[in-house]
Amino acid sequence: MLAKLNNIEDYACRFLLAIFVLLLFSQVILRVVFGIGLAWMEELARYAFVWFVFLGAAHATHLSAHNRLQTHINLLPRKMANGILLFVDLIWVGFSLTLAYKSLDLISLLTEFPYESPALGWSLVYVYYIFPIAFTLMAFRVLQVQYLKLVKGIEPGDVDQDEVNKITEAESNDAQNAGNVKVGN
Amino acid sequence: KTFKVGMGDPMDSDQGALAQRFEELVEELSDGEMQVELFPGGQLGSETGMIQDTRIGKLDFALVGVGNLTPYAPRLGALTMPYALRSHADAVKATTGPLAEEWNAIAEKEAGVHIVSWLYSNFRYLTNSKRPVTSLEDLQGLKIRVPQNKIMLATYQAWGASPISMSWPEVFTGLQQGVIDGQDNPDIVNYTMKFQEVQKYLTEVHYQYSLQPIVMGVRTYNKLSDEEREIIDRAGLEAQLYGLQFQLTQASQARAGMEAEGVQSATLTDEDKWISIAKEKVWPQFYEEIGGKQSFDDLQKALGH
Amino acid sequence: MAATILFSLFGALLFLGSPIVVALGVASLAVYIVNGDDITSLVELAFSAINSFPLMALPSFILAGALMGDAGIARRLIRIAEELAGPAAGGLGAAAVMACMFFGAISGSGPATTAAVGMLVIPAMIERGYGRSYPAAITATAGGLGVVIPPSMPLVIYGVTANESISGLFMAGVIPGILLGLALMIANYITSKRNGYQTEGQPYDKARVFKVLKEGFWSLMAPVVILGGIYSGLFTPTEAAVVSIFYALFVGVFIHKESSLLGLNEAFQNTTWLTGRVLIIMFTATAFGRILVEHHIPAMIAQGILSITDSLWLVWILVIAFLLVVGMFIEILATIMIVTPVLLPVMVQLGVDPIHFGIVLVVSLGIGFSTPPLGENMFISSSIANVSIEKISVRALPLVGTMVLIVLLLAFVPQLSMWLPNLMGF
Ligand code: NA
Ligand code: NA
Repeated sequence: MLAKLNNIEDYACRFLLAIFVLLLFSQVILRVVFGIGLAWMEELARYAFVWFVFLGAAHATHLSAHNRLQTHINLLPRKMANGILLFVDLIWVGFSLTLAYKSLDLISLLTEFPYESPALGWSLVYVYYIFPIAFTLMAFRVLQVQYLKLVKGIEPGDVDQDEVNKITEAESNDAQNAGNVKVGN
Repeated sequence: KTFKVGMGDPMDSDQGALAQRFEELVEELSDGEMQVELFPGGQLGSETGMIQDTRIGKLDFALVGVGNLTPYAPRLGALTMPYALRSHADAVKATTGPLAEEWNAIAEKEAGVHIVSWLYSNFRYLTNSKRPVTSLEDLQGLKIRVPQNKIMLATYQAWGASPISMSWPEVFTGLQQGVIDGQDNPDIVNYTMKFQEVQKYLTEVHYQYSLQPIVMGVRTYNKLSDEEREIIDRAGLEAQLYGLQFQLTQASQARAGMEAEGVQSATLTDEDKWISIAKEKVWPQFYEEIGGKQSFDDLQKALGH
Repeated sequence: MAATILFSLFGALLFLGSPIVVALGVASLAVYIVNGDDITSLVELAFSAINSFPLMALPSFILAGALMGDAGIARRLIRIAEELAGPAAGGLGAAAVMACMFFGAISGSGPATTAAVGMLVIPAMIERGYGRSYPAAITATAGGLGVVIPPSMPLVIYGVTANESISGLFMAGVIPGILLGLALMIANYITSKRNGYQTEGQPYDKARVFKVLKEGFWSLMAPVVILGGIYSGLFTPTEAAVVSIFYALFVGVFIHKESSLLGLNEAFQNTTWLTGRVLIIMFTATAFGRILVEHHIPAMIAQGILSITDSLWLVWILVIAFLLVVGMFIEILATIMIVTPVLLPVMVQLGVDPIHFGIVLVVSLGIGFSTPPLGENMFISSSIANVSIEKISVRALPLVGTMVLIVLLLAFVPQLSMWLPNLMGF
């Protein structure tokens, strides 16, 4: 249960992805086959997509998958490298929390002067709820990854490397990643 | 003090003409104390985004289609009802004097923006690649692009066309590849978008007069001195008149340009029918949204319809 | 002032190992604070930068690419390429390039192309005496064709950033993609002659070629569905991507009978974090670019460059050199979002068509896929071939050189990119 909760963004994202892909596909079929255009389908798909992207960004943080340049940092002594990365990650936390906090301002502004989405007639506030949620989650994920690394000694995996490993494993079981320079990503 | 103005169209459009005149007037009236900087071509984002930014106070002015204000202030939607405005004179009457004050009050209260000026962008004329449209019958089954706008969608549906909602950047290729047969826009837009390259027929339909206000966030407006507010409002009104002249001369040039490139233009033989269908089938669907039947009837009465 | 804060903070954070998205975002945030602008507008930008229909092509193409691998569509395409390359000198090397071209026509990503092709071709090449580093080098380099031949994720991102037609850009990539493929095949032929990688392929056999083509029919139809759909006007690029998802599922489940729930699950999982990490950059890069525009910085840079020289040739060479260096270090999609608002106005002032510029931009940056230190294609091929990045880099050098020559050709002969889209009326 806790493990499932730990991957909440992942599950939510897969659901949202399925939703907007299905909506867009139905829209194509309706238009090409029946000549019907329904504006609300595209709009709903777009809003699902917005949620998907920001939750996906939090999920990518959980996997420590965000692109960064760190080859040169990894050459430094271990403690120093960890210190520098902790420092920039704390800036990241501050940035995320600022956005999360400020998005509440935007939501209250939208509550004061509502915006009805053109096709569905929904208040845009519902779409904007993703910002406090996703940016808070993102800050939490940054701290979680740092905690696991510095306190529990669990190095964050490298998702790109994992991808490569999956491919290589499929090819031959004895293939090691020998000689592969570890480059920050 | 420098004021930023954002707009979606390029400098050589009618939006650009209005904005440039507004800039000159503000700078002149304030003896250069107030400077205006223009950001054309969507450099500062989408119209909806720019409206948000004026409300927050990040952007000083935005020049946007009134249709993009209606999600914030549904009552402004009265101006976008089919055949609400049927002539230039209607458009002018609806955006000056007491009616202008009414819209401004609505915009300030519901959308949080103050209306500084109105750009008269003319009627959205229908173009298509299939056949000359001179009567309602000719329209049947044509695939017409509409923006994300419920009222326009419902109108074309009521007339028997197949409206398809499509975002603006896709329209040209959509027309070219036949995803859609036609679309509607004012002459100047049609010509600057080079729609004559992919459209053969044009019909003067007077169901939708395109109005584009310059808005300023109420928060920003209230922070200005009385003198500054007066300068802005006066510059807005004078620029508005200039915009009307610009429209009247440039639209006919744009049309002549399109015709020279082979577009056949036509007028409707049965526009009464188009009007009565709009009145009977479309208006009732939207009364509630735009603030009630009574207020819409009042507008129609004020315009002498 | 704003520019100084923006660039120095961005540079400092990037250097300290901060994620690109954070470096862009924090630098922008700092300018907001210094200017006294309301930060809620930054959140508003998060919404409007992502709330875009054309952008939805990105996750759709990622998902489609993954599902096409799982459906056995990719594998069959590569078999066809192998068969067609036949017994010529360096035949398998040519097959690798051709396979990347075929796969490039269904995939929008460089690394995905390298992975799909490399997995099958690299072991075969090693077995037939190409050594370990050359096969890895050629698949890594040719994998870059995946982003030039449509569909292409970098072209989607460029189209959205520059507000250009994505269909038009896709069309413009066709001839440059083929040209790059041919150039790599020539380079491969020369290398193979020199190193004695001879006639290791099987001689042509009509029956076998026919059999492979027949088995690969549904795979060959995949690019037809995607590109044919876009150019016949049936779908927009985003819709084509979505349709190809269902095409892959249909072929995988009912025809090849190879799709698995596990594969579907993995495809969904990867699409999620890949999209999240790319498109969140769209948000902060838009904020960054907006600040540049508000302070007229692109115009100033344009003037600066034009005051030094108004020779389009010289500017092209400078721009390409800059892009090659940046492409070595920074991920391609992020780079496109950052450099487009700065460079495009310069090129437009010099009379370059935005579509033409987009192609040169993407090809130049795509070369970075096969250069250290950050060379995604190279990491993949290095793992498959089990050989070090250094060794691959040496063997990739002549291939990368070939690509650079073609980029210059593409820059100086705009017709190579513009002829097809002009023909189609873009
Ligand atoms: Na491709
Ligand atoms: Na590189």
